[in-house]
Amino acid sequence: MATLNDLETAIDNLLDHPLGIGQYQLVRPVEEKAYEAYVFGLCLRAVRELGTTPILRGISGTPVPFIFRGAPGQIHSVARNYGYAEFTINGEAFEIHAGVEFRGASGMTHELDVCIMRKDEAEKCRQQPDDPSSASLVAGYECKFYAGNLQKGLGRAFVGLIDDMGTNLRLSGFCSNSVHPQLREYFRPQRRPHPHFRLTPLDSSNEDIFVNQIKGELKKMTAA
Amino acid sequence: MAVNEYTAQQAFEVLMNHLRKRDGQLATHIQAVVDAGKDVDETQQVGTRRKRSRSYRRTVPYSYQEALEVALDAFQAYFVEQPLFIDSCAKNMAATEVGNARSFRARWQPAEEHNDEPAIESMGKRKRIEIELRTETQISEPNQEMFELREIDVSQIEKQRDNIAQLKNLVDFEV
Repeated sequence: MATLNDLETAIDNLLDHPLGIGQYQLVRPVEEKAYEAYVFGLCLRAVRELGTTPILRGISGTPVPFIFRGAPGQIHSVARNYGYAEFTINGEAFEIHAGVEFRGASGMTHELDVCIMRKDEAEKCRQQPDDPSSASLVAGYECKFYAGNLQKGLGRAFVGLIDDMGTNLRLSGFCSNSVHPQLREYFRPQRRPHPHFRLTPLDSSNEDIFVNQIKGELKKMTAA
Repeated sequence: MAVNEYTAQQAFEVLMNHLRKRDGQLATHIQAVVDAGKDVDETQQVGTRRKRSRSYRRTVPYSYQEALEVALDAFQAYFVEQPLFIDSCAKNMAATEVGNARSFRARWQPAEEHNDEPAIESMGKRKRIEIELRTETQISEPNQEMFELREIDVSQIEKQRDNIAQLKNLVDFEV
Protein backbone atom coordinates (compact mmCIF):
# COMPACT_ATOMS: atom_id res chain seq x y z
CA MET A 1 0.00 0.00 0.00
CA ALA A 2 1.38 3.40 -0.98
CA THR A 3 1.43 5.82 1.94
CA LEU A 4 1.16 9.60 2.01
CA ASN A 5 4.81 9.61 2.97
CA ASP A 6 5.68 7.70 -0.26
CA LEU A 7 3.69 10.25 -2.23
CA GLU A 8 5.38 13.23 -0.58
CA THR A 9 8.83 11.73 -1.13
CA ALA A 10 8.05 11.19 -4.83
CA ILE A 11 6.79 14.78 -5.18
CA ASP A 12 9.92 16.13 -3.46
CA ASN A 13 12.17 14.01 -5.71
CA LEU A 14 10.49 15.50 -8.76
CA LEU A 15 10.37 19.14 -7.68
CA ASP A 16 13.82 19.25 -6.05
CA HIS A 17 15.64 17.50 -8.90
CA PRO A 18 18.09 19.78 -10.77
CA LEU A 19 15.60 19.70 -13.67
CA GLY A 20 12.70 20.52 -11.36
CA ILE A 21 11.65 23.91 -10.05
CA GLY A 22 15.19 25.32 -10.37
CA GLN A 23 15.38 24.56 -14.08
CA TYR A 24 11.81 25.82 -14.59
CA GLN A 25 12.65 29.16 -12.97
CA LEU A 26 15.81 29.42 -15.05
CA VAL A 27 14.15 28.70 -18.40
CA ARG A 28 10.81 30.41 -17.74
CA PRO A 29 11.75 33.69 -19.50
CA VAL A 30 12.66 31.86 -22.70
CA GLU A 31 10.36 28.84 -22.71
CA GLU A 32 8.55 29.96 -25.90
CA LYS A 33 11.79 30.87 -27.62
CA ALA A 34 13.42 27.58 -26.66
CA TYR A 35 10.55 25.84 -28.44
CA GLU A 36 11.13 27.99 -31.54
CA ALA A 37 14.82 27.09 -31.40
CA TYR A 38 13.82 23.42 -31.31
CA VAL A 39 11.60 23.80 -34.41
CA PHE A 40 14.38 25.78 -36.14
CA GLY A 41 16.65 22.80 -35.42
CA LEU A 42 14.13 20.41 -37.00
CA CYS A 43 14.23 22.52 -40.18
CA LEU A 44 18.04 22.15 -40.18
CA ARG A 45 17.60 18.41 -39.83
CA ALA A 46 15.25 18.30 -42.85
CA VAL A 47 17.83 20.11 -44.99
CA ARG A 48 20.60 17.82 -43.78
CA GLU A 49 18.55 14.73 -44.61
CA LEU A 50 18.31 16.02 -48.17
CA GLY A 51 22.08 15.71 -48.36
CA THR A 52 22.89 19.39 -47.89
CA THR A 53 24.79 20.90 -44.99
CA PRO A 54 23.15 24.09 -43.73
CA ILE A 55 25.49 26.98 -42.99
CA LEU A 56 24.83 29.21 -40.00
CA ARG A 57 25.23 32.93 -40.65
CA GLY A 58 24.89 36.10 -38.65
CA ILE A 59 23.43 39.36 -39.95
CA SER A 60 26.64 41.23 -39.18
CA GLY A 61 29.32 38.57 -38.94
CA THR A 62 30.26 35.12 -37.83
CA PRO A 63 27.41 33.78 -35.67
CA VAL A 64 29.38 32.96 -32.55
CA PRO A 65 27.24 32.82 -30.52
CA PHE A 66 24.20 32.04 -32.67
CA ILE A 67 21.54 34.49 -31.47
CA PHE A 68 17.79 33.94 -31.59
CA ARG A 69 15.64 37.06 -31.46
CA GLY A 70 13.77 37.61 -28.19
CA ALA A 71 10.89 39.33 -30.00
CA PRO A 72 9.69 39.71 -33.59
CA GLY A 73 12.03 41.84 -35.64
CA GLN A 74 13.11 42.95 -39.07
CA ILE A 75 15.32 40.75 -41.21
CA HIS A 76 17.76 43.64 -41.74
CA SER A 77 18.11 44.52 -38.06
CA VAL A 78 21.70 44.70 -36.84
CA ALA A 79 20.82 45.50 -33.23
CA ARG A 80 22.56 42.20 -32.53
CA ASN A 81 24.28 39.65 -34.72
CA TYR A 82 21.04 37.69 -35.21
CA GLY A 83 21.52 34.23 -36.65
CA TYR A 84 19.96 32.45 -39.60
CA ALA A 85 20.82 29.42 -41.72
CA GLU A 86 21.31 29.17 -45.46
CA PHE A 87 21.36 26.23 -47.83
CA THR A 88 21.28 25.48 -51.54
CA ILE A 89 19.48 22.60 -53.20
CA ASN A 90 19.81 21.99 -56.95
CA GLY A 91 21.10 25.52 -57.43
CA GLU A 92 18.22 27.14 -55.55
CA ALA A 93 19.18 29.02 -52.41
CA PHE A 94 17.07 29.36 -49.27
CA GLU A 95 17.34 30.67 -45.74
CA ILE A 96 15.80 29.61 -42.45
CA HIS A 97 14.89 32.38 -40.01
CA ALA A 98 13.26 32.71 -36.60
CA GLY A 99 11.12 35.61 -35.46
CA VAL A 100 11.27 37.62 -38.68
CA GLU A 101 8.48 39.88 -39.92
CA PHE A 102 7.07 39.65 -43.43
CA ARG A 103 4.88 41.98 -45.46
CA GLY A 104 1.57 40.27 -46.16
CA ALA A 105 -0.52 40.64 -49.31
CA SER A 106 -2.54 43.34 -47.55
CA GLY A 107 0.60 45.31 -46.71
CA MET A 108 0.32 44.48 -43.04
CA THR A 109 3.40 42.90 -41.45
CA HIS A 110 3.28 39.56 -39.71
CA GLU A 111 5.83 37.66 -37.66
CA LEU A 112 6.60 34.04 -38.37
CA ASP A 113 8.17 32.12 -35.51
CA VAL A 114 10.16 29.94 -37.89
CA CYS A 115 10.24 30.15 -41.68
CA ILE A 116 12.04 29.02 -44.81
CA MET A 117 12.32 31.68 -47.51
CA ARG A 118 14.04 32.46 -50.80
CA LYS A 119 17.58 33.68 -50.25
CA ASP A 120 17.45 36.31 -53.00
CA GLU A 121 14.68 38.24 -51.26
CA ALA A 122 16.41 37.94 -47.88
CA GLU A 123 19.64 39.37 -49.30
CA LYS A 124 17.77 42.15 -51.06
CA CYS A 125 16.08 43.14 -47.82
CA ARG A 126 19.36 43.12 -45.92
CA GLN A 127 21.12 45.25 -48.55
CA GLN A 128 18.26 47.73 -48.93
CA PRO A 129 16.46 47.51 -45.60
CA ASP A 130 12.89 46.39 -46.07
CA ASP A 131 10.44 43.76 -44.88
CA PRO A 132 10.51 40.70 -47.13
CA SER A 133 7.39 40.10 -49.16
CA SER A 134 5.27 37.07 -48.41
CA ALA A 135 5.88 35.91 -52.01
CA SER A 136 9.39 34.89 -50.96
CA LEU A 137 8.11 32.50 -48.32
CA VAL A 138 8.34 28.76 -48.78
CA ALA A 139 7.27 27.57 -45.33
CA GLY A 140 5.98 29.33 -42.24
CA TYR A 141 5.44 27.98 -38.75
CA GLU A 142 3.78 29.18 -35.59
CA CYS A 143 5.39 27.62 -32.52
CA LYS A 144 3.60 27.38 -29.20
CA PHE A 145 4.95 25.81 -26.07
CA TYR A 146 2.08 25.02 -23.75
CA ALA A 147 1.85 23.20 -20.46
CA GLY A 148 -1.88 22.59 -20.75
CA ASN A 149 -4.50 22.66 -23.47
CA LEU A 150 -3.83 25.08 -26.29
CA GLN A 151 -6.06 28.11 -26.63
CA LYS A 152 -8.35 28.14 -29.65
CA GLY A 153 -7.65 31.80 -30.38
CA LEU A 154 -4.04 31.00 -31.26
CA GLY A 155 -5.18 28.78 -34.11
CA ARG A 156 -7.68 31.34 -35.39
CA ALA A 157 -5.02 34.06 -35.40
CA PHE A 158 -2.56 31.93 -37.33
CA VAL A 159 -5.17 31.02 -39.97
CA GLY A 160 -5.76 34.76 -40.47
CA LEU A 161 -2.03 35.37 -40.79
CA ILE A 162 -1.56 32.60 -43.35
CA ASP A 163 -4.52 33.90 -45.33
CA ASP A 164 -2.58 37.15 -45.83
CA MET A 165 0.59 35.38 -46.95
CA GLY A 166 -0.42 34.82 -50.57
CA THR A 167 -0.28 31.65 -52.60
CA ASN A 168 3.48 31.09 -52.87
CA LEU A 169 3.59 29.69 -49.36
CA ARG A 170 3.85 25.96 -49.92
CA LEU A 171 3.89 24.80 -46.32
CA SER A 172 2.43 26.21 -43.17
CA GLY A 173 2.11 24.59 -39.81
CA PHE A 174 0.97 25.21 -36.28
CA CYS A 175 3.54 23.52 -34.06
CA SER A 176 2.99 22.78 -30.41
CA ASN A 177 4.08 20.33 -27.78
CA SER A 178 0.43 20.35 -26.71
CA VAL A 179 -2.83 19.61 -28.50
CA HIS A 180 -6.39 20.84 -28.94
CA PRO A 181 -8.93 18.43 -30.45
CA GLN A 182 -11.13 21.18 -31.89
CA LEU A 183 -8.17 22.98 -33.46
CA ARG A 184 -7.22 19.79 -35.26
CA GLU A 185 -10.64 19.87 -36.94
CA TYR A 186 -10.37 23.62 -37.54
CA PHE A 187 -7.12 23.12 -39.46
CA ARG A 188 -8.57 20.35 -41.62
CA PRO A 189 -9.82 22.38 -44.65
CA GLN A 190 -7.40 22.86 -47.54
CA ARG A 191 -4.99 25.81 -47.37
CA ARG A 192 -5.13 25.85 -43.60
CA PRO A 193 -1.96 25.24 -41.60
CA HIS A 194 -1.01 21.66 -40.82
CA PRO A 195 -1.54 20.85 -37.14
CA HIS A 196 1.83 19.65 -35.87
CA PHE A 197 0.48 18.83 -32.43
CA ARG A 198 2.59 16.98 -29.86
CA LEU A 199 5.67 18.00 -31.82
CA THR A 200 8.17 17.11 -29.16
CA PRO A 201 11.29 14.98 -28.79
CA LEU A 202 9.09 12.64 -26.74
CA ASP A 203 7.27 11.68 -29.95
CA SER A 204 9.76 10.96 -32.71
CA SER A 205 7.06 9.96 -35.21
CA ASN A 206 5.60 13.48 -35.08
CA GLU A 207 9.07 14.92 -35.57
CA ASP A 208 9.50 12.65 -38.60
CA ILE A 209 6.20 13.87 -40.11
CA PHE A 210 7.32 17.50 -39.70
CA VAL A 211 10.77 16.86 -41.19
CA ASN A 212 9.44 14.74 -44.06
CA GLN A 213 6.93 17.40 -45.08
CA ILE A 214 9.72 19.93 -45.46
CA LYS A 215 11.91 17.48 -47.33
CA GLY A 216 9.04 16.57 -49.69
CA GLU A 217 8.23 20.20 -50.53
CA LEU A 218 11.86 21.22 -51.02
CA LYS A 219 12.43 18.23 -53.28
CA LYS A 220 9.33 19.03 -55.34
CA MET A 221 10.13 22.70 -55.78
CA THR A 222 13.80 22.21 -56.65
CA ALA A 223 13.35 19.20 -58.93
CA ALA A 224 15.09 19.78 -62.25
CA MET B 1 -9.09 0.45 -6.97
CA ALA B 2 -5.35 0.74 -6.57
CA VAL B 3 -4.15 0.37 -3.01
CA ASN B 4 -3.23 3.78 -1.70
CA GLU B 5 -3.84 5.11 1.77
CA TYR B 6 -4.95 8.42 0.27
CA THR B 7 -7.63 9.52 -2.18
CA ALA B 8 -7.11 11.27 -5.53
CA GLN B 9 -8.32 14.52 -3.97
CA GLN B 10 -5.82 14.22 -1.11
CA ALA B 11 -3.03 13.42 -3.57
CA PHE B 12 -3.88 16.47 -5.68
CA GLU B 13 -3.98 18.74 -2.64
CA VAL B 14 -0.63 17.42 -1.34
CA LEU B 15 0.92 17.89 -4.78
CA MET B 16 -0.34 21.46 -5.09
CA ASN B 17 0.72 22.34 -1.52
CA HIS B 18 4.26 21.12 -2.16
CA LEU B 19 4.37 23.02 -5.44
CA ARG B 20 2.95 26.24 -3.93
CA LYS B 21 5.68 26.25 -1.28
CA ARG B 22 8.37 26.15 -3.96
CA ASP B 23 6.91 28.27 -6.77
CA GLY B 24 3.62 30.08 -6.38
CA GLN B 25 3.57 31.21 -10.00
CA LEU B 26 3.83 27.68 -11.39
CA ALA B 27 1.23 26.46 -8.88
CA THR B 28 -1.18 29.21 -9.97
CA HIS B 29 -0.60 28.34 -13.62
CA ILE B 30 -1.23 24.63 -13.13
CA GLN B 31 -4.32 25.31 -11.02
CA ALA B 32 -5.65 27.52 -13.85
CA VAL B 33 -5.05 24.76 -16.41
CA VAL B 34 -6.92 22.31 -14.20
CA ASP B 35 -9.73 24.76 -13.49
CA ALA B 36 -10.32 25.29 -17.23
CA GLY B 37 -11.99 21.86 -17.24
CA LYS B 38 -12.51 19.70 -20.31
CA ASP B 39 -14.97 19.26 -23.15
CA VAL B 40 -17.10 16.13 -23.26
CA ASP B 41 -19.72 14.96 -25.75
CA GLU B 42 -23.06 14.35 -24.14
CA THR B 43 -26.05 12.62 -25.66
CA GLN B 44 -29.62 13.69 -25.16
CA GLN B 45 -32.69 11.61 -25.99
CA VAL B 46 -35.15 13.50 -28.14
CA GLY B 47 -38.69 12.12 -28.15
CA THR B 48 -39.47 8.48 -27.50
CA ARG B 49 -38.63 6.79 -30.82
CA ARG B 50 -35.42 4.78 -31.13
CA LYS B 51 -32.35 6.54 -32.56
CA ARG B 52 -33.84 9.89 -31.77
CA SER B 53 -30.91 11.38 -29.92
CA ARG B 54 -28.57 14.30 -30.35
CA SER B 55 -25.13 14.90 -28.98
CA TYR B 56 -23.67 18.17 -27.85
CA ARG B 57 -20.49 19.51 -26.29
CA ARG B 58 -20.34 20.44 -22.65
CA THR B 59 -17.44 21.73 -20.56
CA VAL B 60 -17.12 19.92 -17.26
CA PRO B 61 -14.61 19.98 -14.39
CA TYR B 62 -11.81 17.44 -14.29
CA SER B 63 -12.09 14.67 -11.74
CA TYR B 64 -9.27 14.70 -9.17
CA GLN B 65 -7.70 11.72 -10.92
CA GLU B 66 -7.73 13.67 -14.22
CA ALA B 67 -6.48 16.82 -12.48
CA LEU B 68 -3.47 14.84 -11.27
CA GLU B 69 -2.80 13.67 -14.83
CA VAL B 70 -3.06 17.25 -16.13
CA ALA B 71 -0.63 18.47 -13.45
CA LEU B 72 1.86 15.70 -14.21
CA ASP B 73 1.64 16.44 -17.95
CA ALA B 74 2.46 20.07 -17.16
CA PHE B 75 5.45 18.96 -15.06
CA GLN B 76 6.57 16.80 -17.93
CA ALA B 77 6.38 19.78 -20.30
CA TYR B 78 8.52 21.96 -18.02
CA PHE B 79 10.90 19.44 -16.47
CA VAL B 80 11.44 16.99 -19.33
CA GLU B 81 10.37 18.52 -22.63
CA GLN B 82 12.07 21.89 -22.14
CA PRO B 83 15.50 20.30 -21.56
CA LEU B 84 14.85 18.00 -24.52
CA PHE B 85 14.07 20.99 -26.80
CA ILE B 86 17.43 22.47 -25.89
CA ASP B 87 19.18 19.14 -26.39
CA SER B 88 17.53 18.58 -29.79
CA CYS B 89 18.32 22.11 -30.97
CA ALA B 90 21.94 21.77 -29.86
CA LYS B 91 22.33 18.47 -31.72
CA ASN B 92 20.82 19.84 -34.93
CA MET B 93 22.92 23.00 -34.71
CA ALA B 94 26.05 20.91 -34.18
CA ALA B 95 25.46 19.21 -37.51
CA THR B 96 25.90 22.47 -39.43
CA GLU B 97 28.80 24.61 -40.51
CA VAL B 98 29.40 28.15 -39.40
CA GLY B 99 29.92 30.72 -42.13
CA ASN B 100 32.23 33.69 -41.90
CA ALA B 101 30.98 37.20 -42.45
CA ARG B 102 29.51 37.45 -45.94
CA SER B 103 31.01 39.53 -48.67
CA PHE B 104 28.69 41.54 -50.84
CA ARG B 105 27.03 39.64 -53.67
CA ALA B 106 25.85 41.62 -56.65
CA ARG B 107 22.18 41.14 -57.46
CA TRP B 108 23.07 39.81 -60.94
CA GLN B 109 25.40 37.19 -59.52
CA PRO B 110 23.79 33.75 -59.10
CA ALA B 111 24.00 32.43 -55.56
CA GLU B 112 25.87 29.29 -56.56
CA GLU B 113 28.61 31.34 -58.25
CA HIS B 114 29.05 33.54 -55.25
CA ASN B 115 31.76 31.48 -53.65
CA ASP B 116 32.71 33.90 -50.95
CA GLU B 117 34.49 32.74 -47.86
CA PRO B 118 34.73 29.12 -46.83
CA ALA B 119 32.73 28.07 -43.82
CA ILE B 120 34.62 27.71 -40.58
CA GLU B 121 35.48 24.10 -39.80
CA SER B 122 32.70 23.51 -37.36
CA MET B 123 30.75 20.48 -38.54
CA GLY B 124 29.90 18.26 -35.59
CA LYS B 125 31.04 20.79 -33.04
CA ARG B 126 28.77 22.20 -30.38
CA LYS B 127 27.59 25.74 -31.20
CA ARG B 128 27.02 28.38 -28.61
CA ILE B 129 23.33 29.31 -28.78
CA GLU B 130 21.80 32.32 -27.08
CA ILE B 131 18.34 33.81 -26.84
CA GLU B 132 18.02 37.54 -26.56
CA LEU B 133 16.36 38.65 -23.31
CA ARG B 134 16.68 42.37 -23.84
CA THR B 135 14.95 42.94 -27.16
CA GLU B 136 16.03 45.64 -29.56
CA THR B 137 13.08 47.89 -28.76
CA GLN B 138 13.17 47.44 -24.99
CA ILE B 139 14.09 50.52 -23.01
CA SER B 140 13.77 48.96 -19.57
CA GLU B 141 16.87 47.21 -18.30
CA PRO B 142 16.45 43.50 -17.63
CA ASN B 143 18.64 41.62 -15.16
CA GLN B 144 20.21 39.72 -18.00
CA GLU B 145 20.86 40.64 -21.65
CA MET B 146 21.09 37.15 -23.09
CA PHE B 147 20.21 33.59 -22.12
CA GLU B 148 22.51 30.79 -23.16
CA LEU B 149 20.85 27.49 -24.06
CA ARG B 150 23.06 25.02 -22.27
CA GLU B 151 22.82 21.35 -23.04
CA ILE B 152 21.71 19.20 -20.16
CA ASP B 153 23.11 15.82 -19.20
CA VAL B 154 20.76 13.26 -20.77
CA SER B 155 21.00 11.05 -17.68
CA GLN B 156 19.47 13.90 -15.67
CA ILE B 157 16.56 14.09 -18.11
CA GLU B 158 16.10 10.32 -17.87
CA LYS B 159 16.11 10.53 -14.07
CA GLN B 160 13.42 13.18 -14.19
CA ARG B 161 11.36 11.02 -16.56
CA ASP B 162 11.65 8.21 -14.01
CA ASN B 163 10.52 10.57 -11.24
CA ILE B 164 7.41 11.47 -13.23
CA ALA B 165 6.69 7.81 -14.02
CA GLN B 166 7.01 6.93 -10.33
CA LEU B 167 4.64 9.71 -9.35
CA LYS B 168 2.16 8.63 -12.03
CA ASN B 169 2.12 5.16 -10.48
CA LEU B 170 1.43 6.60 -7.07
CA VAL B 171 -1.54 8.64 -8.27
CA ASP B 172 -3.10 5.97 -10.45
CA PHE B 173 -6.37 5.09 -8.75
CA GLU B 174 -7.82 3.10 -11.60
CA VAL B 175 -7.91 -0.69 -11.64
